[in-house]
Amino acid sequence: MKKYFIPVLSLFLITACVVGLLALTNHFTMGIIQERERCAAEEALEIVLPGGAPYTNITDSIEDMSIDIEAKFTCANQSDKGYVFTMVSKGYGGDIIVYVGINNEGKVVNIMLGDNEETPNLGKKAELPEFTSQFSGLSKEDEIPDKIDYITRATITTDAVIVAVESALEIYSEVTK
Amino acid sequence: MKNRSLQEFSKGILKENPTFILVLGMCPTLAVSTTAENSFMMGLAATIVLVLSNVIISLLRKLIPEKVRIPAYITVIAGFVTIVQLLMKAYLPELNKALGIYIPLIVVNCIILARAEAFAAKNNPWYSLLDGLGMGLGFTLAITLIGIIREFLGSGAVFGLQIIKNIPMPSVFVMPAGAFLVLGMLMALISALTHKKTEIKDCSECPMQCLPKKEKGDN
Amino acid sequence: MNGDTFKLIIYISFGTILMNNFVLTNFLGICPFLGVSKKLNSAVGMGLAVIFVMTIASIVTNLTNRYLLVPNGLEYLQTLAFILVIAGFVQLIELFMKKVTPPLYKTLGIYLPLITTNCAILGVALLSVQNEYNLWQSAIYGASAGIGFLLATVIFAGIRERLDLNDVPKYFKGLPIALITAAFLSMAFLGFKGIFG
Repeated sequence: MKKYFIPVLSLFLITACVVGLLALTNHFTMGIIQERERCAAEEALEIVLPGGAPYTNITDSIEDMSIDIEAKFTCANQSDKGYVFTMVSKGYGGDIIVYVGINNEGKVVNIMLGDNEETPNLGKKAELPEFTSQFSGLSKEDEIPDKIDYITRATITTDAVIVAVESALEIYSEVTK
Repeated sequence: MKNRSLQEFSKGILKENPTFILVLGMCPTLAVSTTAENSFMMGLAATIVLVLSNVIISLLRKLIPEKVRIPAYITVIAGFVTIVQLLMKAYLPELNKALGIYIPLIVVNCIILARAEAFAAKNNPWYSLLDGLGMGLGFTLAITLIGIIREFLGSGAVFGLQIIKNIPMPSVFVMPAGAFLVLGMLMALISALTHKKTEIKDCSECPMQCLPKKEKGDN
Repeated sequence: MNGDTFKLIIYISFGTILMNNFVLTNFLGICPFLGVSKKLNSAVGMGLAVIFVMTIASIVTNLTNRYLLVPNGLEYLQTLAFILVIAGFVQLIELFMKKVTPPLYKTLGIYLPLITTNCAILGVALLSVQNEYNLWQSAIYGASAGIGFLLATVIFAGIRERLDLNDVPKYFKGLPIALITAAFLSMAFLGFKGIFG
C-alpha cells in the first residue's frame, strides 16, 4: 500500500489545484454566461425592434402564465415600443433561435435568426434579410404560411421560423389580454 | 541553442505535422472544418491548450510519479480546456456555439496528450513551449487549409467572404462526407509530394493506448 | 412501458445509429474507426467493446452529473469529472475482466484502453448531458451510439478487405483511399436523415 501513497497523493494535489483554478475562473465568468444563455444580445434587440431600448426582462412572469405554444421561448423583453421574444423551434439540423420583435399594435416589426445548425446555402438562407423581412407587418390575424415564400429545398427550416413567429404572436396576445 | 530552438519549433509545421504526417487529432479536424473561420479558431484554441499544458507538465515533470502520469496529464489538460471553454462561453458565445462539444473534446485530442507524454515529460519548459507552439501551428495550418477548401467548394465563400455568387456549389463539401473526401485527397497529395505511403497508425501514437502495460491501480 | 417511452426509445436508438451516426456524421471515434477497420475480426471486437464502454460511460457520467455536479453547481467540472470517472471505471472493469472472465478479456478487453479516452466516449457523455437525457435514455443513447459505431466499422472493414485486393493508385494506398471510402459510406448514411420527418 505504501508504494501507492505518494502517487495517489500527488494526483490528488494536482487535481485539487486544477479544480481550484477552475472554480476561480467559473466564479468570474458565471454571471456573463448565464446572462448570455438566456436572452438576446443588444444588437439583436435593436434589429428586431429598433429604438426599443430600454427593456425590462419579463421572462419569469410569462413563464408563470404557461401559454400553450408550439415553439419554446427562452426570453421575453418589454419596452415602450413593444416586445421582443426569443423563441426556439425545431429546424432541420436542430434548434433554431428566432428573435421576434412585436410592436404595440400586435404587428411583427422584424425578426432575426440566432444560433442554428441549418445547412449552409439551404436552410441557412433563412438568416438573410430577403427571407426575414417577409414577416414584417404580419399579425396574429394573418395566415402566415400563405404569406411567406418558402425557401426551395428548405421547407423544414421555413416551417420552423413560421412556427416561432406564430408562437411569439400567440404570447403577445396572451400578454396583452 | 538557437538552432535547436528553431528545430523544435519548426518540426511541427512540416516534417512532423500532426494532421498530415502523424495522423493525430482527426476528430476535430474533420468535424469542425466546415468553414475556414471555425477551423482557424479551433486550431487557435487547441494551440493555446497545447502550449499551456506542455509548459506546465514540463515544469512538473520531475514531481509527477510515473504511475499516475497519464491521469495527471489528463487532469492538467482538462483544466486548461475548461478554462478556455468558460472564457469562450462568456466572451465569444457565437464561436462557442459554432464549435460546440468539440471544445471540451480538445481534452482527448491525441495531439495534446501525445506531445505531453512524448515531449513535455522529457524536456525543459522552453523547448516544450516551442514544441507546443510548432505542433499547434502545424495543426492550425492543416485544419485551416481543409476548412478553406471545404468552405470554398461547398459554399463559394472563404472566411465568410462570398467569392462565388449565384453559382450553386456542391454542398456535399460542408457535410461530413466532404470532410472525408477533402482529407483523403489531401493525404494522397501529400503522399505524392513526399513519396511516402501514409500509414494509419493504430492510434498507438497516442500514449493512452499504452495504459494496460503500465501499472495503474490507483484511481 | 407506455407508448411514449417506446417511441422515445425507437427515436433515440434509430436516430443515433443511423441519422446521427457517431462516426460518419459526428466524427466521434475516428481514430479507432480508421485504425481497426482493416480486418473484420478486430472491427467486431472493437465494436462490441465500444458498445460496452459507451453504455457504461453514459450511465456513470449521468449519475455523476445528476448527483454530484448539478446539486452543487459544479457543471463547469463536467469535462474533468467525466473523463476521470470514465477512465477510472473502465480501468476497474478491465482488471475485473482479466481476473474473472479471461476469455471475454481476450476478445474485448484488449480494446478497452484504446477507447477509454477517445473522442467517442467523452462525446457520448457530453452529448447525453446536452440532450438532457435521464438515466435510461442515457443508457440507450450510449448503447445506440456504440451500435452505430459497430455498424459503420463492420461495413467499412468489409469494404476495405476487398479494396486491399484491388489495384489502388499508388498514392492513394492506405489512408487516402480509406478516407474516400468513408466519404461514400457517410453519404450513404445521409439518406437516413429525415426518416422521422
